Amino acid sequence: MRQPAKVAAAIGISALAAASFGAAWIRPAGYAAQFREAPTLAPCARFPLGTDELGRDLLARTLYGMRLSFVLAGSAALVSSAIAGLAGVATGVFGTTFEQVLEIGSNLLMSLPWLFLLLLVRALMPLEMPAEASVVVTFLLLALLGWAPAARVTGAAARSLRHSGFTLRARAEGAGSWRLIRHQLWPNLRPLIVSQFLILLPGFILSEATLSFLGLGVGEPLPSWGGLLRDLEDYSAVAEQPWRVAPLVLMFLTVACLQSLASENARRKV
Amino acid sequence: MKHMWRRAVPYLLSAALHLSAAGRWGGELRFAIDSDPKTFNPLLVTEQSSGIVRYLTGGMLIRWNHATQAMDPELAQSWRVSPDGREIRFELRPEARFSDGSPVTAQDAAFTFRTLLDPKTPSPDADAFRAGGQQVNVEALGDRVLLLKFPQPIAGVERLFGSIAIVSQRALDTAPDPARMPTAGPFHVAQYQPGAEIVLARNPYYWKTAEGRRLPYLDGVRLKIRQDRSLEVNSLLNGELDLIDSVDPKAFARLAKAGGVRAIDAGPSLDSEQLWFNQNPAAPLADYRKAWFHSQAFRQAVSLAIHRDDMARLVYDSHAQPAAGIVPDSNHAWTNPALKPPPFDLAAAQKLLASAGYRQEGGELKDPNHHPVEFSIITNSGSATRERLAVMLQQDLARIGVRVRLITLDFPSLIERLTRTFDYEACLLGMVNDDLDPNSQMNVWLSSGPNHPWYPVEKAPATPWEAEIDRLMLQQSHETKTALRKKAFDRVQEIVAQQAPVIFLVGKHSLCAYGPRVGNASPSPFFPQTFWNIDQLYIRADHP
Amino acid sequence: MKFWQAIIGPAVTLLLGGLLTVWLVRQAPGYGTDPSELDGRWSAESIARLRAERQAHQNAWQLYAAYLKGMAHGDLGASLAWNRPVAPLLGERGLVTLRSSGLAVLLGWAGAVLVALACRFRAAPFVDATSRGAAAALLCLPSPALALVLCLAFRASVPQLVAGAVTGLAIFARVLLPSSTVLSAVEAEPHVLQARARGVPAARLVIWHVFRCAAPALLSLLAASVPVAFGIAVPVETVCNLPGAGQLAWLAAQKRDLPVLTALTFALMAITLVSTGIARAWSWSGPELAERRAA
Repeated sequence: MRQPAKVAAAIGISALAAASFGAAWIRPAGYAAQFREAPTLAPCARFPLGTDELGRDLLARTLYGMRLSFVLAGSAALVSSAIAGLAGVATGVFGTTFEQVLEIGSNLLMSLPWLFLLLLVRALMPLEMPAEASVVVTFLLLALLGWAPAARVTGAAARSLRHSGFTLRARAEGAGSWRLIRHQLWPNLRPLIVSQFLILLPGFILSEATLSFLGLGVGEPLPSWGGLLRDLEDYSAVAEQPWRVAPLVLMFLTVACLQSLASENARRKV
Repeated sequence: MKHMWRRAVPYLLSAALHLSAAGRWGGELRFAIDSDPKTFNPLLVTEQSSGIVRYLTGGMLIRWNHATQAMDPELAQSWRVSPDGREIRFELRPEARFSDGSPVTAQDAAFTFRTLLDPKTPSPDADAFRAGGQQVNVEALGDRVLLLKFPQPIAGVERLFGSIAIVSQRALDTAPDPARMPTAGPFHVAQYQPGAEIVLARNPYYWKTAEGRRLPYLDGVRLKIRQDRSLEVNSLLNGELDLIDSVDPKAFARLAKAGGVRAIDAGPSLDSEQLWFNQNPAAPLADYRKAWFHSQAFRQAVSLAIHRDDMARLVYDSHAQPAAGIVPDSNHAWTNPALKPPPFDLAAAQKLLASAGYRQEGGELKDPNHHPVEFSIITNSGSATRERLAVMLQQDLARIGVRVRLITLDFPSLIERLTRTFDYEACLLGMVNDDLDPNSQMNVWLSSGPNHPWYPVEKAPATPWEAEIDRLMLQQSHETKTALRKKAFDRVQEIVAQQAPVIFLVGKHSLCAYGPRVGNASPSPFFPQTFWNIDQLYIRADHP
Repeated sequence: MKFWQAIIGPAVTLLLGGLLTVWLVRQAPGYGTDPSELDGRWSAESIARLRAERQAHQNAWQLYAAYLKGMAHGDLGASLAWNRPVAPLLGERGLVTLRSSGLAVLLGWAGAVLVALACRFRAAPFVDATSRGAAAALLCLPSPALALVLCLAFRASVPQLVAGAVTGLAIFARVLLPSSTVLSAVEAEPHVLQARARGVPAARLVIWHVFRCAAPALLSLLAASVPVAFGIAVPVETVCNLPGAGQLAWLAAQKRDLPVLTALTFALMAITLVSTGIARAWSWSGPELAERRAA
């Protein structure tokens, strides 16, 4: 029962990745071309997902947007999860002192209005900086600022592990820090870190949509899932053009496939 | 004779409206404002929400009639401007009263203007009065006559009085608690729930009458504070709100299709979208880029490469039109009929660029020194229509080999770049106007003006044509003869069209909507569109 | 150590957090600007005066010192954007958010934990798959879009309920998967296996052994949900036009309203610290107790 689900998830993710990276072949006209004679078209043979208000191919924008969001949000989520994982492991090894420092740091990260840092960094970037570069910087900052909630969870789990029976026995048997990390901490924290990654990934994609209200999102004409999802707030347009929920459906499929793959792995390791 | 009839028609229409205005007494009108008012003191109004409350509650000496585009007597039953334009005299109505029953006297009016003109009062309305010099003499002659004397004549001075609400000393003392503040307009503030709503109740002593009773017809107005407009259309359709001003073009299409509401395109408004290049020599830009922006040929070529018709069609659903210049057609008194919107002409654009030494190389435009022509356009984030305009600009300019980067910024960041650091190359922004008179744009067109878009606060005009604009604007601001003013301002419009320091893109139409409850609505292209005649609006009997 | 944890640590966090907030806002582009500067009616002298007023205190240290001094006297400053004292403004709006989102956070967290518990220990694969699918969908759906849909469905007449529902669902989505992971890890703990082997009934096993051992991680999920819920409240309250602390934060950020942002940050930090403290207090007692009971 579990194996077909995992195979289906793997095929699904591969297909989505292939479509996004093959966007240039699937839709050669690109995401920016404006077919001004054909605005807000319904899906048809020429435009399978129709066009937007400026006559841009929505399928092209969805595929290119998927690529951008996959790579950038995925990388940011990976970095954040890795930092959270390191924080958890360090809590398990170094104990209470590190835990106090981590707690102060994560409280600050979770409570402060860090979007002003994003605005400041954006203001410092030169005008000539390409849009792609500026959005990479934004996602990097999101990654460096977004690990705190995940780190709290892994830290708490690591604290439990530190006091658990098998860890205490390992220490009593003379296990050093590295051995503890390899055999006690990491195997038990990894499923948690993976689950945090699966939460951070869509979170970062949607954060980009919110940040675009402050000019910090992906700049036009570059498409992104966040930008396409922001269009859903124009509910009357969605009601008239229901195919505009396609990016939402694709994002859901991506997250669901990743969840399926991850949960299979979690059951095997514990 | 024909001319006379044309001028008479608006008056006849207005009279017809008044005759047909027999409305129903009672009921409450509901609409939304987008933020809490910063102040209820009518002399300190700087933003729209406070301005709306002032419009609904304030008693002005005279007020501009949207239908006739002329000033109407209000608290003042008559007024006279001296032939030299330096003096204006008002005679107040004996029946004018504040909402607490106290009479509106010339002393109150004099107090209002003295407070307004006090240098300690931060008010943009006050700055307009000081355009003729700092020493404005305000005098109350008895209880009913107010006299203002200006050191220099201010052309069109009457219109300035349309936004000054007469207050009493008592009013200002109670301003922190708006519910206690007496007002002389059709309503006063009855209740204020911060973040939620403001409830206005009728002024029982309002001076205007109909059918032997004191107006307004309405018992009250409920202003719902809604920062986000996403649900406003739905609220109108399901009857929670009665009217919406400044409807988004996409939402307008939905309202026009829906039954039960009237969606009105009232024609060209005073608002337009513009692009300008940074010509400030202090800007932290490379010299070769500054050279592009200083070149008239470059600016004109960019203007010719822009497809304005497509912008009007795609971004505004044809509820906009290509803009010819500073003044839209709806401003009958001041528009220059000789000016037409620049055509979309790529060949002409390329010819102009070639004449200035620019060359196309492999689809890329290069300047005389072989620098690829590419620049960034900044605009404010959060506006879908403006972002679409910017994207269209990007594609249009790509056709002449110009690569454009779009940078959206939140408003404070944008203001900082435009007014302090000048760290930008080109800017796409809208001009919002609610005053037809050219004097309201002095600070925009004078080279020393703080809102001179391409190079604010110039110590001396940087170019001969800017010096000429300065001369003409100052000339018309003190000229008492309308024909001479018009001639001077027509020439200003021509210079701006030729030099293109600001490239006008589209003039937006005024879109609004109101529900079936509202009677006597007569939407206007100018702010406030649907409730400019608030004392005449009523709730229909069949929709209580 | 406990004195450090209980007093010094939170105090340092608050002070440092306040200073960082003031510095960030002060340094952010557009600080000291006012949209009315673009009003063509203002003269150059008036605009210069407007700018001078808004930049009266140039230095972040000076601003912070003045703020702390005022706070010591109960004065949280005056909002530049609302033209009102910050304390009552924050009080009004904070109460609205607490009413709409406070209970929602608890319900969302509790719902996710209960569903995770039920799926792990009652072997309900359909419920497991459905709840994971729902969580994945909720994670992908922008909160403002969901709020709009609910506002339309309920005619925006109960914005507090809509905001609460969206917050609760978002927290549920964010808590379900990690809590499921935590519980499956605890399931394999020796004392749990021991208790199971001794025939401890399922309900007692889940409550007294599994939940107690998993509680530190689960409670830290709850503590971490508080700032996340506030982050969700920001766009949701804006879209629903609910005058809560979230909407206040969004508008204050756009207007660079330093007194409001500083006060909001202090409030949020205090709530986060309290919730973290509760989670930590449990973690000192929970797991050891669970192990002793199993033995």
